[in-house]
Amino acid sequence: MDYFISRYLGACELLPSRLRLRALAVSEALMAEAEEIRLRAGRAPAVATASGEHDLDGPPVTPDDILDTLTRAARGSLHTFAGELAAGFLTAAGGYRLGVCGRAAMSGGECVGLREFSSLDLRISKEVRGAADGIFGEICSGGRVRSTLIVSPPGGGKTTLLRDLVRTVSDLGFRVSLADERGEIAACSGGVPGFDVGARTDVLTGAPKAWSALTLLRAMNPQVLALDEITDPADARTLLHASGCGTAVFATVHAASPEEAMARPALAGVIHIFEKAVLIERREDGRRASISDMPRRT
Amino acid sequence: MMRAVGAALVILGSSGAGVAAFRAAAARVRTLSSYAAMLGVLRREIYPELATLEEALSAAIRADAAPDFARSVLRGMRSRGGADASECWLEACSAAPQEIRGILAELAPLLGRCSAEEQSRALEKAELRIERLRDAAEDERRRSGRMYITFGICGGAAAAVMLL
Repeated sequence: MDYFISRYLGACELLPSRLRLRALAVSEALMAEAEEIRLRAGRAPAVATASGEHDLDGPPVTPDDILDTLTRAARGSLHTFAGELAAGFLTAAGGYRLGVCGRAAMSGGECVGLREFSSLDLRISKEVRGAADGIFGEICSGGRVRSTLIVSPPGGGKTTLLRDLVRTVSDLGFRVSLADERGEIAACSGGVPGFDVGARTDVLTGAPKAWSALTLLRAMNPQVLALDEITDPADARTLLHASGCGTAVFATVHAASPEEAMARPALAGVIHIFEKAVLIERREDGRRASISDMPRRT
Repeated sequence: MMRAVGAALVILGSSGAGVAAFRAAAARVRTLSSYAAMLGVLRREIYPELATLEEALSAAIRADAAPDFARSVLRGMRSRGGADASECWLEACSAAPQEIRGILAELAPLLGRCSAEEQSRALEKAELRIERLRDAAEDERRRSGRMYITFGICGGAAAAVMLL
């Protein structure tokens, strides 16, 4: 069976039966292209592809559908994932990430939980071996790995590219430490990565990136440190620390261009550690990753 | 001679019936205690430990607290990839003693689907209700246990006298 279709079918397993049957009724072409399954209370469920959302026939989604999907993803134990849900997501076995919206319960200015779920975004993560082939030569040459920032708007495929870059560098013999906060890069289950992240990759799952990165630097002696989605100044400070230790860094950030990434407050003061920038763009014929030297501030 | 043997058998049979009734009452107490203990283990594992339902059920099995019930739910969950905990719990309820089936079934829509604190409160309530039933069963066992045995022996003796 086509790998992309099997990933879609795996995502359907997380849906309650009344929605699963409808999701399984779509064409194989749509299954293969699907990037997300979207549930919004009171609206038709939809399958999202690069070209847009395709509504599924039948009655609208109910809040119970969303709760049931989350409960299935949490293997019947939603309470165990309360911390992740307060941050707006939950990662299910197989590396499927479920983003959720609902009513936030606040305490002391912080969100301590979500309830009355209203929307759910079930992302169908996919392993694309060879995704980094076109850029790898410039990142790793002369026995040296260059710190690289992967840039794209949300849904551009940063995580997929980062995963393949990690795998390639790791299989080449470099020790890679992966701070996988949301568990969607390696999709570890029972300590074993569900996606191939390379022979010499050590994965720390579930902890905040800044804490994970420092722990990995202290404990695992990495030659390359990889982490997804730099959003917090604390993450950026950790990157500075890693760079100061002689460790190359692979990171991703939401932005439309390297220049836009440089303007992000979280990255101010840390952008200089990156030698290379990879920009992923969506085009009509699919995604394209291009690599360049990281622009410097003038 | 034959009458004497017959009388002895009647005494033994009647006493045995009394003892069996006494043992059934004791078994009922043990069963209720076991289910209450299981709910206690689940409660502590879910809050504050935040263990998954599968882990909590495994802990109940290790603690020998209603292990057959816990094993049945666990088997159902594992065969369905960990999902549908509510359905698996409800299915297992059908094999639980009739008098606590309703109490256990009330937990089905809550387990794994709401906050750990809410589940803990629901489990505690159910545990208390079963403990109350257990205490009543224990009183009943004490009160009527000796009576069953005495009636058994006396009834047997009376029958034996008539036979002789």
